[in-house]
Amino acid sequence: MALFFACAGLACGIVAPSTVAEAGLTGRYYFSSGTNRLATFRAKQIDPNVNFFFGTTGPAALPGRSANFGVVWQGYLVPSQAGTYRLGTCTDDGVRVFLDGEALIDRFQDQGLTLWQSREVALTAGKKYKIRMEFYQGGGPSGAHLLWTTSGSFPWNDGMPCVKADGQTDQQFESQLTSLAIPSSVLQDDGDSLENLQASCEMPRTMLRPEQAPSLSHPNTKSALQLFRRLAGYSTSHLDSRILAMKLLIDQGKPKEAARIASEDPSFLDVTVRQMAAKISTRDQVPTAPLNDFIATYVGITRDRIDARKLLTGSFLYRMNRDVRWTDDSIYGLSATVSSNRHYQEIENSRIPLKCSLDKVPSLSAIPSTFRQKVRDKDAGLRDHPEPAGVLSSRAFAEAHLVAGTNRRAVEKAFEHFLCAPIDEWRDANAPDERVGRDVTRFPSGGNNLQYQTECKSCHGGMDALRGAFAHWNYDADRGFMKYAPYFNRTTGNNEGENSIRKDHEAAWGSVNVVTKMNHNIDHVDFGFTVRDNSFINYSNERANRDRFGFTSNLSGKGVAEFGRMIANSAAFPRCQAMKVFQEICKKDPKSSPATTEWLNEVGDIWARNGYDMRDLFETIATQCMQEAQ
Amino acid sequence: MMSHSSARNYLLLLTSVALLSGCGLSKNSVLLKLSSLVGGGPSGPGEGMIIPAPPSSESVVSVAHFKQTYPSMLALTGQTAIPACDDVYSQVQGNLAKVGAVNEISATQMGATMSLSACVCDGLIKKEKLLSGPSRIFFSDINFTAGAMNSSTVLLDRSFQRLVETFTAAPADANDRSDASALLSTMALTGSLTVARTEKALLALCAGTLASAAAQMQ
Repeated sequence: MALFFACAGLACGIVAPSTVAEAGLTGRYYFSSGTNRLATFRAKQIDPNVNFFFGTTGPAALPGRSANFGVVWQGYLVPSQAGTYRLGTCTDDGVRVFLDGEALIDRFQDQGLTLWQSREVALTAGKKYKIRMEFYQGGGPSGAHLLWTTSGSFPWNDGMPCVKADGQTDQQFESQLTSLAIPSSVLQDDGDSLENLQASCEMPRTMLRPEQAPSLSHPNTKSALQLFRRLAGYSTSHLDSRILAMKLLIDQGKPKEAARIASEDPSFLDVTVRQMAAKISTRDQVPTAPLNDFIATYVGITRDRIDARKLLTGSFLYRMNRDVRWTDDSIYGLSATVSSNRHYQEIENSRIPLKCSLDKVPSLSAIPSTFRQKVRDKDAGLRDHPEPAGVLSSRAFAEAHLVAGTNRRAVEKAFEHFLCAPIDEWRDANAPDERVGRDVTRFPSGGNNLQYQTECKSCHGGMDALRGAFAHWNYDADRGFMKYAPYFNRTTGNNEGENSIRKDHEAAWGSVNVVTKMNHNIDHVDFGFTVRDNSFINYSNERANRDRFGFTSNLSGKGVAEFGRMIANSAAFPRCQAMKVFQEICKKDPKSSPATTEWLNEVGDIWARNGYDMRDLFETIATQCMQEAQ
Repeated sequence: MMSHSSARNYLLLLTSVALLSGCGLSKNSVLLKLSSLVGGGPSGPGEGMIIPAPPSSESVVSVAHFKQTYPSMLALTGQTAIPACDDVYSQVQGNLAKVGAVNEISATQMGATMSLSACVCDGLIKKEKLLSGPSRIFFSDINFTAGAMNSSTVLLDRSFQRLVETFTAAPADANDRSDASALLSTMALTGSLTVARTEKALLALCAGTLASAAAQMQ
């Protein structure tokens, strides 16, 4: 292709992967940060095996660091003899061991020098098994030993201290551990797997000599530089071979193709898109929010050029590519996303760009199915998501907007983030109030009727009628996971928040499978609306709101998925995305003038007609801003 | 976000720390035509997408945040990861701007930016020093075995101009060059530019320019 013309004759290659394996495992050493045990990569080396008496001095690879560090040893186990083996670890502190992705030992916890053993595994001679050991040290003396035995047992019992026996000298103890350590002769390093993945994700580029580079006095060179900066999120110089390629395309009247070069840079997703998604993924709405399922899905949809309406209707999410971490789903995969954000934290720790570290998972799975279930790795009882609705059914969205409260916030924020309509803008005093909840004080049960009519009703009339979509959902902040009421036993008088109104009221109001908080303060206004199911009605399509939103699909429905579909198919959704991208890329207020808003509406309309490709929207708007700046 | 003038003030402030400047924000002339925005290319999903021109509005700039600063420095100097600078980045990351807001500019933030730029420039100088003069990109005129002032003022000025031009996409103006010259004179007067200190002079020139360039995002 023409755009690669600039690379002709230049060293635009990708780093070649290492092919010669060394005896031993690849050890990657990290500094810990709080509970993030593998937070900051610091060093890498080949360790002949894992048999370290770190004591109080810490690893040689981390000089001066004796506490708060972690190590991942990764590579292959190639047994020379077939047999039934048992793997074991003797560590202070926590440890995990995976063999071909399966977690054989999972004791990532503070502990003294403790032996943990795996189940027995049958290994074939000469076969390469992927092996990975994760270890961390909090404080005090430390040690890490990866052991095996064919005798069926170790000298210490499972879960007991692996310390020297009475009468045993230090030397004898160390010899004992060393004899049990898996020897280097059956270990091979991982062939720089992470580094190769990282390198393969980088864009080919090289530094041109000044005489090869495009002239800085040519306006299109500056346009190319600005276009790159806007999309990739960082600056580069005219000596960057990509700038030459972009400039040539702009010369040819193909700025969109030039923009595509910039959006190929991993930083486009890692910085630009991620930042935009982060701002709407958490309650705090900060661009520095840690990676989570909401952000990952937003980035993945952009990367893969999937119809952006799937943001609100998709039955998938994005999670870590297994090449990044040689583990199965049990620890860092789907089930781990149920109760914590650590799966996504691990992606960040890996330092692999999101462009290469995310996989699309075909169904939004993994919500706990029993009340008070302690969600743990490998726990049974996880079910597919019953109402997948893109990021609206993500754990991050639930944590931000379904925690406590009355689920009105989920409606408010969905409108704010995806239709660019804060509640103050779409409140409607003329909307029917037949669905306003029982917790909103009003005449004749008390309160100020004038205030209700002029203030409360205008927000609650529309919002309460829509919040039924979320009637099955709650977020348990203490346990950190989403709850789907129909999967939980009905409560009997307490206010746990799961399944239905209090049982003693059930007969009277007939609410089943509705989280308790939907009918919060049910005795307060006895003529108010009782939520009995997850149906919703959209009263926000009248008067000014009709033009504002332009809803095109059904204005009523059941559940989050139908709610998401209604929003995604509105006229306001693509216009809102255009505004957000404009703000992110062009660094300007999209509502600064009526002309700008009108222009963005047109951009959004055209974008929708062309298939809702989010990456294309970024590229288009970036080229427009480039033009305006000239 | 901030306006051009306040950005310039920030840059001047930053470069005063480094005794340098050279980060003008230039306006380009219009070359692109509306017709160039038609279509997304033969295979692009935006094919047929016709977008009208945007209305003009005030240009603003923002400060680079922590995820942008270091990659910019590496890209501007044509380097990939530098382990020593990765360490510096880990140490100063928390002091760089978090979101790129103008109110994040502070002495601490500027100090962190300078620490990082000094490290990256140190890597650049070491890299170029290994090359023969004609093979170098930034310091082709410099004799690393002689004191900085033993290189003619013209040659030093040429290196400085190359740094400014590459990092900021704009030529160094008279004030910038005057500042650089003053820096070198001061260093010479204080005896800093002995034969073995050529690299220090280059480091000062490079780090100030790079910090200014990488800290701004428009």
